[in-house]
Amino acid sequence: MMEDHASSGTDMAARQPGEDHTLHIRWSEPKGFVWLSIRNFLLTILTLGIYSFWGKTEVRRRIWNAVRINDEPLEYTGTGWELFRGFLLAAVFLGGGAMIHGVIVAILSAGNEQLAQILFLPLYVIGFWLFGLAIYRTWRYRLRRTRWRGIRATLAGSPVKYANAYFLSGLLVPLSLGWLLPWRLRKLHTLMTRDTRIGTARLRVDPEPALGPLYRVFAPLWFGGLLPYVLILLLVVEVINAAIRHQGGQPIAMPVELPPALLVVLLVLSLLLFMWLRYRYLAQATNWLTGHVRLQGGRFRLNLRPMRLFLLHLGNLFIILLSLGILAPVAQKRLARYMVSNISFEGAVDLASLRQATDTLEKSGEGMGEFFDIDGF
Amino acid sequence: MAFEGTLSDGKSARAMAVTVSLETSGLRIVPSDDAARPQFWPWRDLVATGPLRREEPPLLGNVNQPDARLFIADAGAVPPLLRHAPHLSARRHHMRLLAPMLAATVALLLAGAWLWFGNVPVARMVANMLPGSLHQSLGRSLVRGMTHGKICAAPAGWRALRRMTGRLAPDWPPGTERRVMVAKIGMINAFTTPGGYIVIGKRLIDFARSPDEVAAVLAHEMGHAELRHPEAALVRATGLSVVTTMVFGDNFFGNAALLLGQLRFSRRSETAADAVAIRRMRHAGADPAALATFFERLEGKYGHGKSENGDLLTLFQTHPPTAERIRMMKRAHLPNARPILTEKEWQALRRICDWTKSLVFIED
Repeated sequence: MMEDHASSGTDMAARQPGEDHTLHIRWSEPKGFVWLSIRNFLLTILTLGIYSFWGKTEVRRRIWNAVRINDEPLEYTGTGWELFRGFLLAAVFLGGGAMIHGVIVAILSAGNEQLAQILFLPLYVIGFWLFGLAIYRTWRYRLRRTRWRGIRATLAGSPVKYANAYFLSGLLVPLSLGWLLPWRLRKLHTLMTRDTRIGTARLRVDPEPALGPLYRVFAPLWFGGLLPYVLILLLVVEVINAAIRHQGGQPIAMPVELPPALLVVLLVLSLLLFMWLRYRYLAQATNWLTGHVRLQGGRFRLNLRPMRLFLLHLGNLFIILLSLGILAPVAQKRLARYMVSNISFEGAVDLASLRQATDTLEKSGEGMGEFFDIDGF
Repeated sequence: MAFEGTLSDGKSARAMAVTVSLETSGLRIVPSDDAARPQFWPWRDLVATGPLRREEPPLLGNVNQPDARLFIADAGAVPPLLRHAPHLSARRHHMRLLAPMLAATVALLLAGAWLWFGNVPVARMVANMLPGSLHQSLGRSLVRGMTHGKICAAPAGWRALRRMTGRLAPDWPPGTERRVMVAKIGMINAFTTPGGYIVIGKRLIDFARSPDEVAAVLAHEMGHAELRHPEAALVRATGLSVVTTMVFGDNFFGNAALLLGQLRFSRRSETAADAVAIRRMRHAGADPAALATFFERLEGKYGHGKSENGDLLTLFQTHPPTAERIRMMKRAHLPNARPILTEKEWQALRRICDWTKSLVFIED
């Protein structure tokens, strides 16, 4: 029997005609995350923080490995060295730049606080734009370090274009009193998704998700956010009035007179309602946008539930707080498990046509993401 | 020994079912498709993204085919794989990674210990490299913030303050004595900012029973200015913040570590400033022990320094245990000292806040 030694592989796609396959996505629970978290923490202290980049890499490797597509795991190929180099580059250029700007402002303002605040404005503006750039570059790094059956993903677009969209749309949101948030969410999601490649295959947003369903869940959230805001204002005025009455003065006239205890109860209830509406929006918006993402002949489905999402975040908050942050990887794993357990793919993909990506890999990673503290993964 | 798996060539996402046999010198990979050619991967050519773990089915690569992947669907394959390819084990992986990392950490710790115990003033060296105008700008900002832009300036009291400053610091260039000021800051305290600005709280003057007590506090603050403690503290706080965030992260451990580190430096600075205060007071012919009297009354009124038996609680105070400082000052007692101000000047100083004015820096 003829053998192929390691030096020569076999191009399977060339040998076989295209066949469509469905993709089954499932979660395979990884073991030993508590010990991994503790070990990462101890080694990070022992090495004065340097090991944290390798610890983060190991956490990702295990989480990626737990994601099975057709029973084969995703693979995370990033390294701690890349994250460490990225961190150093960001610290030098971004941190150094911010410090130099601060020094210049301090010298030019000469103690004048108002002038100093004005002179800091460009830093905030540039920082906001750089945040968008950091998001795109961070996700590009992570996708490029994600493989399945050796095929890696990537983002093939321009980080600058994304940063511009992030910045400009971000400016419009406060002008619209927040009403443009769902529009912005769709815009940025569409940009990022259309740039995503699995190998050389594009993800498509098809059709572009209508805004109607997004606004149907957003509107109650927007109005629901008004109620705690008004109640807080009433509570603050009530506290001020109590102080005024204590000093024998004339309290501020209120349109509505409510006992403080009732105000507090209403505030707590309104905050709970707001949180519920927020998770409802998050879950349904994410499901809606994901449901429009296509890969070749198939599409993704996500089925997040608001209450389950809320309880998950609450649980993660307790885990992180009670462990003083040490068990953060456990929280990350729980979130990943929930997302993966609720995602599915409908339709079929011609695996033979998912060819290997050809873009060049960067030698460092996520420096900007670390600098701006973009998410916990 | 044979296991089932899938092989992908890395050129496309297609994979073929294979049977993997562990042989003496490597893996023999036989596709279930008879039309496909078997492959042989030597042990030394095997790579993996991370160390193989006994509970995870192994995913292997080949150094000569960077994109190809062999997935063995049985975690039971890991122990025999590790016997033949120990370079894929967690132990070897950690040795390759941790040995140099721990060596670098030990080197860093030794360097840090040398800097710490060798009393190498790194923060001060860095602070000295920064332009003086920067320190002064920062100092003016801080003073404006603390005083809300108003200082006490009754003329007779202002003159008394100038005389006190002149006696304590005859070596200061003309004009710089204007960096010493009195303001209503709401506490029995005085502080020194980067750039050498010194603000004495009005309540401190009210609490003092003699001008020598105020002078001793002022001399102590002059010590901070002379030794550039505020500048060094700023550099140190920035550096510590970076280090503790790297080591502990931005959480409870990081914040606690930062506070402990800053407090430790602060205690050393206070002792050094006390030494300068003693020198300046004696040079002015005034009694440094006045600071001891001041501290004793402060301690009696507010209970500072009660827990000063060297246990952990004292580590949390921003100053050295008061008893130590009191003993140091008393040992420096100058017999036949003369008061730093006349009685008339002292009374004028106590009324310095009868009139306030807007803060204008000499540099503005």
